[in-house]
Amino acid sequence: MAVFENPVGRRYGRRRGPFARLVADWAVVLPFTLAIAWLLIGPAANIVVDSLRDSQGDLTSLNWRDVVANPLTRRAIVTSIVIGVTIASLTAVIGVPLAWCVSRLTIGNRSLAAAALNVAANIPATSLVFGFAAAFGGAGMVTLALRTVWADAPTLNIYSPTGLVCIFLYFHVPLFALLVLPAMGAVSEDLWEAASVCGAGTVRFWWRIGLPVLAPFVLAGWILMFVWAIGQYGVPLALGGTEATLNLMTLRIGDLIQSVGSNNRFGRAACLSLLLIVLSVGALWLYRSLLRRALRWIA
Amino acid sequence: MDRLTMSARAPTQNRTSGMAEAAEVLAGPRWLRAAALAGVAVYGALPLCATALYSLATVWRRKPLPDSYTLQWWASTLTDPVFLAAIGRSITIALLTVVAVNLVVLPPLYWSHIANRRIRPLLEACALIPFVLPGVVMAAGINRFVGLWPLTAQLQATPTLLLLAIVATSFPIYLWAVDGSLRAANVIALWEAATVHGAGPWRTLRRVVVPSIRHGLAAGSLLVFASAMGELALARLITGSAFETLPLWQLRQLRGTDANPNGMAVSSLLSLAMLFAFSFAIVLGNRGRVAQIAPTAAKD
Amino acid sequence: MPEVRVEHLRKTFGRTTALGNINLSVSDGELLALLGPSGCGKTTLLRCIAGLTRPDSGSVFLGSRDVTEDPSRTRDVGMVFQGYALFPTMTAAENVGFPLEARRWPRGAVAERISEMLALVGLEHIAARYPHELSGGQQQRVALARALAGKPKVLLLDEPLSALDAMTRTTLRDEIRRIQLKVGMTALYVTHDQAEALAVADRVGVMDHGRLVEVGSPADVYLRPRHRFTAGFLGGRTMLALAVGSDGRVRWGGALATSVPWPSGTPVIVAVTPEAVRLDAVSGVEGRIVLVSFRGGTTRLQIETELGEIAADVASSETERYPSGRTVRLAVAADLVQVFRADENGVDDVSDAH
Repeated sequence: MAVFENPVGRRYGRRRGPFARLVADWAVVLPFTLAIAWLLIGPAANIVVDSLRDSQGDLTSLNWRDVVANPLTRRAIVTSIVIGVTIASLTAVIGVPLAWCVSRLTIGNRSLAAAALNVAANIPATSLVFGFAAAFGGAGMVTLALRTVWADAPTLNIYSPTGLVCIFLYFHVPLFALLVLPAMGAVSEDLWEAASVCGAGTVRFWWRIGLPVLAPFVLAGWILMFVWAIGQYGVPLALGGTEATLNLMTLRIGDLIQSVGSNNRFGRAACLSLLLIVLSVGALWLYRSLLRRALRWIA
Repeated sequence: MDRLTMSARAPTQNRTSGMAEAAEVLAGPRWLRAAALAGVAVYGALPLCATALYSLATVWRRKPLPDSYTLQWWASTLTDPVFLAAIGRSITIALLTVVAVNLVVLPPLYWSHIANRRIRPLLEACALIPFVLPGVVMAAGINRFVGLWPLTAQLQATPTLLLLAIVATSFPIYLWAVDGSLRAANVIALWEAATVHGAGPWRTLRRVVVPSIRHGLAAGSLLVFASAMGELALARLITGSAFETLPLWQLRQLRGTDANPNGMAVSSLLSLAMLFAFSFAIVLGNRGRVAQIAPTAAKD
Repeated sequence: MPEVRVEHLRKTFGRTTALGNINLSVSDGELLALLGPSGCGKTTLLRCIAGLTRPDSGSVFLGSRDVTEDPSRTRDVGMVFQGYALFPTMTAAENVGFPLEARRWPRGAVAERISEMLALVGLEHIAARYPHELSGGQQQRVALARALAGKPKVLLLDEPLSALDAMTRTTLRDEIRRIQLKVGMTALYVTHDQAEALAVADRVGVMDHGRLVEVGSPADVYLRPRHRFTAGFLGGRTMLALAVGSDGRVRWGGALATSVPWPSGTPVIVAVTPEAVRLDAVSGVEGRIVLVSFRGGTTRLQIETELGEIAADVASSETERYPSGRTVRLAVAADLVQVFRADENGVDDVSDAH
């Protein structure tokens, strides 16, 4: 006689053994898990090991000492973090009002705006750098246009850290806006009406209700933008950043592994990579816990 | 780690027409919002306009606009065998990435919804790894890692390894997009209805689930395709010039000794056109919802 | 002195008329329920009084003050919203204190008032919890306490119970009424649920298509509706289409005969409550029972007649006598029906038919 078991994911009929059930439950994840383990976890773990080994494969702390002692890498770490913090903060300052404006568009316009933001957020590094050079570079369209009305107009050096920030903002702000766009719905007309019946004006509403509701989302977005910014390689590379002009951790890592030779360069690349990973993991952990709290509020 | 994606719920629409007044006051002055959006749009459009003009300019000196216009760059770039080979490589890699991601990610994701919920945390944790492994770190790590064993060492610096690395770093975009649409389609209810009427998991997937999440699948696939097309860090550090993809070709036009800004402008416009087409297709196909962005700190 | 008065209030949204010339007053300490189907304008009326929706024309008075042009924040009203709209980042106590904070009460007075209000709704023990940590019923009480905290002139309730389950709804309904009586607050209560409206209100205003159809005590509007819409909306009445006969009486076979002051041939609608139908009458019309549904003390029968289905209630103890499919002879008690002219929709064409 057929036994009708919990039908979800199982055949009814003959009762299967625990092993068969285990296979049925997990077999379909196996290729995925293997791929992840081999392509992501393995290499990442290997980086940890590499950072503690010299070129002969012996255990050493030399790599770490090198990274700390070398002013070039030391400065790269500081610059990366400073740029990350700057980008994240500017992005939040610009992105929150932008997301607010987009969220209050009619539904059709909002979709179009979101599509446009999506383009900007996903723009390839090479196209972006070229576009910036063509528009704001020394012989760029905007620069030339400005020159015709104001001969001594200051120009933006797109190859400087300031230029890097301007270029980063081009794709960080749209991504941030898309990220926090759903949260803008949490500052709803209902809350505004309730507050105004309670006797609150615009300022009090934003100070006591609007901003507190948005705060965790903005903070979470800030963290994501920080992680994203410090991991950028394509744009600085396309800008042709060198040690002298743009000294970032990602560029250092690229340089170090492209010129593997003497001096145990890979070990140092591994140390920098590990630092990036640790920074990102820490930030991401914060992001998750923040967002989980925030989602409870608006659920 | 280029792109992140999550599903954006649209802000609540005003439930009653009476609420329009509150909405208007709360949103702030209309002219101010319009001005802000227009400012952002101009900033966003300037580099694109400059690129477009560059692709059509003969000479461009000391004036805000080019001296005269020509289609010569388009003609020469689109017939340049080196460029065509590069774009061909990129398209091949991107197509294979889309196929691989669909084959490897969709089944466990579907299974996590209908049969084994414990798969979910695993998938979510895995989807975060590419996010904390910047492309450059990933590239550095994977070449070294496969070199550890003789069997896999021959993969070092090959297009195959590049493909695998791109699959491993771009799958989260797909996962988030499809996960969102699985949830939106209420796939558990669909599965329960299908199984009560006698369908198995495979038939349900083919006949019921895939049709109802096709927008999510399309969005995820397009995003993965675009991401693979633009992948620069992995291509440069895994294969380098031995396998010149479109971004590497572009990089050479940008910085190399044989820099060719007009050719770069043409190829850049092609990439942008693709991105525009994809973005608008996703948004419009999805009835205005943005299939997008980032590690959902999912409510479980 | 009425606490709330609206005069000639009109509001249209595009082509729909939400409010068409509404006149209404609520006196001090009274609870008036606005009852009607969704889209009848009752919520719009409430929102006009709260200052959330601006009327096209007409005036709103709170006490003796004309507040029509005043923004919501200076109107001195308290409101419970349909979804409560509690502030998610504030604790229950902070939510209750918000109207006081916004009206710049001194700190000590705020704290005192918060505990007084939380005690009133029986929630002292959860003062420090956030809205998402409260049950639906608790959220509703916090919303009520917040609405009352600022000692408003009038309390407005917009479908306050619609998000709750049936059990909680009944309990809270009675509690809202008790608190309103205790505080002596003037209140307007919007609902689409007739049981709720009849149970809490001193007076009920029935609304339809932007018009205030009639206002009266719960017993009046339920038992003696003066308008055809009210008769159809309340009490589960069956509406029979008949005409005035040559003798000035409306007749339905041998089942009903009642005199009306209208000329012969006038088409009329007779509203028959289920209680007014007598079964197994000596004279009457034939009908066949098609559905029997048990309702507790009474059982409702749907009886197929020549004029369509008619609802009749019998005591549940007699159910066995009326199985589905049986043919019965029924009559209608003339003193329990209302007759309306079918060709007009005014309030004056009612005949109480005694």
